Amino acid sequence: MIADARTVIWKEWRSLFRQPGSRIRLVLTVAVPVGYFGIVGPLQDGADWVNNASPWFVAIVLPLLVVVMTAPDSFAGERERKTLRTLLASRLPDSAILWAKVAFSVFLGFGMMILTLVLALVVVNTTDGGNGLVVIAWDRLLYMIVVSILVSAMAAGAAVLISLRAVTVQQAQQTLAAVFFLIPTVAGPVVLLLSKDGDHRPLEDLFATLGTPAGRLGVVVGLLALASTLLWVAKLRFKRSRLAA
Amino acid sequence: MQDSIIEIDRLTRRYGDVLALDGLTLSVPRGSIYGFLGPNGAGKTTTISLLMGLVEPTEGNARVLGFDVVDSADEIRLRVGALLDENGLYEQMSAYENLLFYARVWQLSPSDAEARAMKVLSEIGLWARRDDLAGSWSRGMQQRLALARAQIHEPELLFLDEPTAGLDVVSSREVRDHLANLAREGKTIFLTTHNMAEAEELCARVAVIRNGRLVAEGEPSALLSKSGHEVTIVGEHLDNATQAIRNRYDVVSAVLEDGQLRLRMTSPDPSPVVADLVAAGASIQEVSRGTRLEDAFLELMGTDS
Repeated sequence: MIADARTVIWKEWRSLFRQPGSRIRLVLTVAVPVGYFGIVGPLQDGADWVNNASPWFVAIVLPLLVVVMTAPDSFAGERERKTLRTLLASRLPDSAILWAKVAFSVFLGFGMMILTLVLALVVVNTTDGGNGLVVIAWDRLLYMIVVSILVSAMAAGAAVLISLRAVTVQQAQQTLAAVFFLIPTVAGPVVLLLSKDGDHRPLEDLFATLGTPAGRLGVVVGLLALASTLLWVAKLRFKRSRLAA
Repeated sequence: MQDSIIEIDRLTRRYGDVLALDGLTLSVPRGSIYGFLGPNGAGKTTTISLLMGLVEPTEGNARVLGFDVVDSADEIRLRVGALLDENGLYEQMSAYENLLFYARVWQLSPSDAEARAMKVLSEIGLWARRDDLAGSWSRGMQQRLALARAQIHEPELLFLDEPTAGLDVVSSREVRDHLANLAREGKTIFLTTHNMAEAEELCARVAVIRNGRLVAEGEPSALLSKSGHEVTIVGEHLDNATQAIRNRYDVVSAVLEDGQLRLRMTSPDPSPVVADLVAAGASIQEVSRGTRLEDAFLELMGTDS
């Protein structure tokens, strides 16, 4: 299983930057955010960067972008490029194909996050590190990493399910982007506004509790449950007999 | 009795209300090319999918290399190679990378993978272009590469779904020559095709299916004799002479059209008929035997099941 997964990951890596238009899409959707969050943001904020919300964008938005870009290409793309049936006709187990593709997207996003965080810390320490080494508190960093992986896994699970139904890669990517970026962007401020009751702001109070140890645990458990459920359903649906029929 | 590599028993597959395969029963002998013929939608691709365990039968069963297609599909896929209706190549990877990937899939060691990739690419005459992106190649070259990929792990049995469909004459010939070489090496090939000349040339046995049902099975020569032998005779004074041979026991039909006499005969040898025509005053210029497997196929397709 591990060897099979490694083989699929090898293939995914080899073909990552070679799909038509994929380089420009990756530059626009990944390199630009990496440049902004890893260089521009830290230059503007200086040492404060490590304590404000910016590292959270790096931990959540960047891996999500990577998963939204790569997972549909990996799943719907195999079908669109008519390589899926041949892959299914090989000796590879369904589970090796599924988990390798999920792992590839999740760890690519994770790698991008780590790269950006390191880049940002280098920029901060180079430009505003006069009072000693500027780092992200280890407990905050650990929490960010765990949340980042869980959010990526959740998005990858959703990407499998959406890709299995989508006709094209583009359709799957657009649907995923709508689910993870457009809806929260549009609906978030509206919900915040509607939830205001005079000076009482229940949603903002709820967000404040997420920084507490109990709140963090709740977030991790919630994301774990969501990611596990989506991946479990993805595993149920990613069956040779369904895909090849 | 000849050793069978595939045993199919009343294999049936439904997709909703559509009966794609209806009680197919046949046996494929080891070590030859077995032709599986039928028009579009006859059930050829469904049969390959069932035999490789990609889809499960609604009824019936089949064994490939002694393994049950439902219970031991993994064992079957481990031991067979396939070129399906699409070539399945990763067009943005090089030809060599395509082969290395599938060599890794079949768990060949790195050195074996490289050696096998070199061997199969050399055999199809494309080793020098191994670093080209597969997508930059012509359809014929891609098809040969896909055929090479199907053999990367030296399978005992190959499933080939219309491997020459859409290829030009030269590419088709190269693929057919390659298949003939494989057959000489003792490989078993389960070949679906539309091309009757191809089946006639390559296949030791053929099965013909229509609407998911087997309508004929056997050696191509047996199918030809079932259909009859077509003879075309060109000459002069054929009008009266034709009447003289109509009642011969070995003449099924005789049609005179545009100075050509088209006969369908039960015997493969037209010389006695030609002798009768000459005796009846005809002057014969040319005799050609035109019955091909295609005629037999078309006749079978026209037969109500």
